[in-house]
Amino acid sequence: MSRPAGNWGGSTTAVLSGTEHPAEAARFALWLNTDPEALAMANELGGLFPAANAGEDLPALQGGVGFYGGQEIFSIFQEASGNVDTDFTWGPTMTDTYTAMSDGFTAALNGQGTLSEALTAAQEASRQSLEDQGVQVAD
Amino acid sequence: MRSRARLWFTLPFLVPFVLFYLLPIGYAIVQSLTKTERTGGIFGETTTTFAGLEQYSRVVTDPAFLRGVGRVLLFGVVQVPIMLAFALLLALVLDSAVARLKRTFRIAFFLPHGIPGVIAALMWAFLYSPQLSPIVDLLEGGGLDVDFLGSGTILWSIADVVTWTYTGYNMLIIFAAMQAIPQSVYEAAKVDGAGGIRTAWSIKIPLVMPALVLTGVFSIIGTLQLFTEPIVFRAISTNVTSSYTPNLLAYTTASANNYPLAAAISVVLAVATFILSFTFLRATAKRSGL
Repeated sequence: MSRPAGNWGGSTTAVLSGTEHPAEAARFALWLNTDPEALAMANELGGLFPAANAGEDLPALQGGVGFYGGQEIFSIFQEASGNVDTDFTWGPTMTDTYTAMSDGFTAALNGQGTLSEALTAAQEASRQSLEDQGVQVAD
Repeated sequence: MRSRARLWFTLPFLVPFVLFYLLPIGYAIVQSLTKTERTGGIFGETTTTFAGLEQYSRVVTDPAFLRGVGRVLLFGVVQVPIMLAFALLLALVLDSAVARLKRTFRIAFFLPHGIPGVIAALMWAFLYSPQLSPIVDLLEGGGLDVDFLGSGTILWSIADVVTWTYTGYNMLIIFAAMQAIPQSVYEAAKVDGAGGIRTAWSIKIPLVMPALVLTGVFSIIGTLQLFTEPIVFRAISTNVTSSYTPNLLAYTTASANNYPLAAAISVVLAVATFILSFTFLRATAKRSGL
């Protein structure tokens, strides 16, 4: 990987377990996020950058963007998109992890501990919050 | 028959009181004695099991919680006496002011309390913000580089907001008590040759002791439950951590869906508040007549 990239924000399409048509809903969700026409519409109307690799060659993503003075902004996203670790899964208590990291970084910025200590503490806090929800955590 | 009728009249109060005050408190206490367990992996069924005092032992040994408690205690020890002294001073000034000025100043002093707490905190957040604040600009023009939101100063910036908000409210209570002092006492003092300041020190202040104790208890309770200002300031400064005050810790714990632990924190905070205010009342019982 040349420059590892992370993922922050974006949107999710979910199929609820109580639905009457789970298969159709799942197919629609898949279509919404992989069909070139749907992706082009999402980009044009909502400014969304496609997560699917199929969207990389969208005509709308080539060339400059008027709002940014004609700069080609999407090539940066395309490069980063290829460097995202797709093995990463969001945990069920991510907000707790964010809080722990924020608190730890505050302490580090004020001279109480280092940033890496903050990350270790955040890991421990995440484990604790998962166990509080009854989830077993592997070592 | 008559006492039965009296009971019916209390119902409009009793029913919501029990439903929205006593029952939630009871539920929180019950919840604080439980913990969540899960069968079948991450997406499995959750069950609530009895955990005894496990949550409580976690709360009282949590360094973040203890730091938050220390913080509000420090805050209370400094801010409450200063605020009450200021309120007393304002009440004394108001009491000796001209009648016409009295009305205007009474309203002016009480106005900060009339502004909803969150809005006042937001206003002050702008006044403290390094980029937007006219105060910071003014001080920078004079060569002073002040950081109101720094880690050492933000607690006192919050204290400033709380003082601004509640001084008028406390002043009004003390002022009302002052109005209740009979004129005959003042006349006797004048006959004895007491001037304005002597009257204030030896007559007015001792006679408004009950009001001072009352405002003291309110302030202690309010300080221990400090929440509004920290949570607004949390949005503008990372120096307010999620456990800055115990009440804020309970809130962030509940936001993380850890209800048994949040309930335990709330119960510990409530018990501590009760003990402290009760002790304060007992300690000042002789002077206050309460």
